[in-house]
Amino acid sequence: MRNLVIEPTSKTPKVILNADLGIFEITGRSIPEDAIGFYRKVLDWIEEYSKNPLPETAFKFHLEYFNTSSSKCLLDIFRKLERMHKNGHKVVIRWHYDADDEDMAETGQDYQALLDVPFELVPV
Amino acid sequence: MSQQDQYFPEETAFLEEARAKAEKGALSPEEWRQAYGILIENYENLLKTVEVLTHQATQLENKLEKVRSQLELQKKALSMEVEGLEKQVHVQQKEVHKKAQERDFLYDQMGKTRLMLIVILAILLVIVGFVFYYLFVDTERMITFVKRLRGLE
Repeated sequence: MRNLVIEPTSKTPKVILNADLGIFEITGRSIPEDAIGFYRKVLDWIEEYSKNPLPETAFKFHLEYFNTSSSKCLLDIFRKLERMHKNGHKVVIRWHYDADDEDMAETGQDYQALLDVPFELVPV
Repeated sequence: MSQQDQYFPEETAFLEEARAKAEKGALSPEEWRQAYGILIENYENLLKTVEVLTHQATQLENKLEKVRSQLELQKKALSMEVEGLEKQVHVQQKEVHKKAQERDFLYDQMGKTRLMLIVILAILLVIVGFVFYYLFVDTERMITFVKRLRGLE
């Protein structure tokens, strides 16, 4: 499966989806005008990956800021990972946030409460 | 494609499906119960999603508002600083102007003094020239002049 790497910009996060190395990361700032367009590639990749995933998938998210449409797209990603988990695959979502960023911690808690998939909050 | 279709494609697809079922109408009570159950489940999920998104949108707005307030404060502080600097520049400009005037006055004085020195030097040169001429070149006339002064002639 081809890896997906998207370099960060001032408005979009860095994306590393590498099934060979088992690295799944979305980090940085996410305020694209076309969030759907940006995250479509990510969602398609996960959809493809979910057909034959690694024994364990640990997905790291470390976002400093994101807009509401990105929030919906993140939720779509989480839903896909949740589906993988429900299908019997080992999946864990790690929500990293700056220790002094209460809002981002609260956002992680919101997602955690909404989803039925192991969701860890990791202050850094 | 509408915004709704873009952001909620699965929910929109399900809605269309439910609508088609309802319009068709030919379902058994069990099928109705099942479809209604799925509808409730999806509606519940959608509600939770909207709750989370609304909460996050409010958080983001608050965050932006906080940043905006900070920027406003920084802008005020910068304005005050700029005002202070402008006053300082004004005072220094006055100072520079005053110094320039003093310099011009001094140059003027120096010019006058220089001119006076040149005039004095010129007069001295003329006197020395005369003395030198009568002492060493036209001695006869000098002797006659001195004699005339003493009343010998």
